[in-house]
Amino acid sequence: MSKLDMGKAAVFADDGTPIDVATSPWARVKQVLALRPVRITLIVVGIVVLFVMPVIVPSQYIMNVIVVCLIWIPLSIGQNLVTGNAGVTVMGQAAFYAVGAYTAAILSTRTEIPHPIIFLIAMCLAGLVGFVISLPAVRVSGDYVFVVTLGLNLIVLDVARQWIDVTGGAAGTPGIPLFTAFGWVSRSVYDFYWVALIVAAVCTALAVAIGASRYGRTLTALREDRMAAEASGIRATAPRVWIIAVSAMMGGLAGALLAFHLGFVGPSSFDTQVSLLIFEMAIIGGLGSVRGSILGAVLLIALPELLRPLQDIRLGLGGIIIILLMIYRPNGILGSSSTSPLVK
Amino acid sequence: MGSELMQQIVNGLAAGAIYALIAVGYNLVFGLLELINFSHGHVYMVGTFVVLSLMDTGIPFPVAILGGLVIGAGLGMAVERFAYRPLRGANRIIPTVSAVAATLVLENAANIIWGPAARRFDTPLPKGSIEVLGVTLTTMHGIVFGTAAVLAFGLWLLVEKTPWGRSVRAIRDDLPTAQLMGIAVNRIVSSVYALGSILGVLAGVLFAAYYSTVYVGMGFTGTLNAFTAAVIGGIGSIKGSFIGGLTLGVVQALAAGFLSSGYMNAITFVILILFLIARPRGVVGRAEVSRA
Repeated sequence: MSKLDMGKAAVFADDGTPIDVATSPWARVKQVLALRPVRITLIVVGIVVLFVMPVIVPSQYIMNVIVVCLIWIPLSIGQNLVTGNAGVTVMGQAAFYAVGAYTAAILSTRTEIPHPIIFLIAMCLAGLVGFVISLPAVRVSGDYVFVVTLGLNLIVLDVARQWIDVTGGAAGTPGIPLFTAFGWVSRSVYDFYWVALIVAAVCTALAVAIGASRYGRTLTALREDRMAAEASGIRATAPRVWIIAVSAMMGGLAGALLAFHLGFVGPSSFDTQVSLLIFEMAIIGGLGSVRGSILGAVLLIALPELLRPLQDIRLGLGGIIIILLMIYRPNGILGSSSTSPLVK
Repeated sequence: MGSELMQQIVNGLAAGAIYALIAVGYNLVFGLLELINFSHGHVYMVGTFVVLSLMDTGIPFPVAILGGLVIGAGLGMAVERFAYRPLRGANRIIPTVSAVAATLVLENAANIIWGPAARRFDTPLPKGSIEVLGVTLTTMHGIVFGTAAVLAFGLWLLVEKTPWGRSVRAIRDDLPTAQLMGIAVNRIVSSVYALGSILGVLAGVLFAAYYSTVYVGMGFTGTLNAFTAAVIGGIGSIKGSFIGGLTLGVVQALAAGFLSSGYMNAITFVILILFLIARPRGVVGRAEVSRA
């Protein structure tokens, strides 16, 4: 972040006292370490664990669960950027997920395009669909948005099932090759972990950066009180169009991950229940909280995977938890404490 | 060709009458609190499944319908009481999120109880048909049109001519003032949710009987169709629900008959977008849609 960023918020210690930010980089590092020892330790430990993960995880099954969680993280984070930060109730994340997955499946089975480029194409196409759908979506009042986006989900499903020449219809597109980049081939789920980790980490970093930026605060202002924000000179349309496009791009990346992870793409991975599951995992950890989105993905994907009986009731259980959260703790389990309480 | 076209229109009107009944239940609630009742389609689906289950145990069709209506009304009131009422007055995104969450609970419960597969729905309703000018009219057509017309008239009487309807209109116009005038707002809101759910379940039974099938997914398609019908006709307007529902039914039937039935959802959605952009208040929408 540049030192001349005028919109930068003041820095506070964990106990709430304002502090002067040190000027030299090294002094600043020391200052941060002294102020937030627990948080810094946790982050460092977390990063170390992520790096040694393939070594310490003994079974292929557990590794698989971890990779699946990593695939859901961009979806969850993207959803939360739109719903949590900007307050736009988009409800069709599975549509962008599908666009990314089918793009990756079709390009990797029919062309020789290098796989990293396929990831970028999948991302851009999903982003484009998000951009196009956001134009009518942000013009209509809030409640209409999720019907419009849920409708997009249904359209994408229709196309995936009917346009058999391209998508394979209900049977899907099988035979997606192993992920290959610069001569390196992902031969097992242990290798693919790194691909998923990079994508999830990039999305996480982007979401954190957006949340901390002036743009992030613009979105929050629009969410909290659109009229007041507009009266303060904030444009209401463009920021929300962009955040929907960014979130769709994250969905597209997740789709490409899914395609290369499974080696197969079919319409059943993208039905409306998936959109709702993504919505749930984004909200359950807190509106606008990146940590919360990650926790939500882990809670709703890994936990039911490891405890089979939870699998069938996870949507409903999540629903009940969310209703209780909305009533008692609208900012979620790990809701960001920096935003004002949403209930006026 | 001419009679084929007429046949598609008649079929579309029947589907549209069912959409109208779902939409009117949805619109009643929306008009009252301007809160999107996302779980409406699911209440309609669960109620219809209840009717099916009751019939499976040998209970006669009319009693089974009654059972479905009671459960549907109870569900509608429960959703209002636990998921919406505690959040009245909160930032709009909060009740919207909890409405979606309530839907997830219903969807999950229905999937566990009845399973994701479509179930056959057989009724003892008479099956027969007559041919008029090359168009086949079945008994089901008659039942659907008759029920929709009776319910539309009854609803109009209820909202425009009874003390209860006056309270509903008062709350719709200004909730705090209505409360100050001594209207028991919570009780009226509760009863509107019950009525909306009852209309929904009736529409669900008609839908199931007309297509001889029930499935969990009809909750979402119900919501989408009801919402589109409401947008076409005008959000919050009872008359608009009927105009919108019938229009949507006919357009869908024509599109399915002459284009492709696989793209039904896509067609509905495109109509919805066009209306949202061109006429966001619908054909007969109330002038002031949003007070937010």
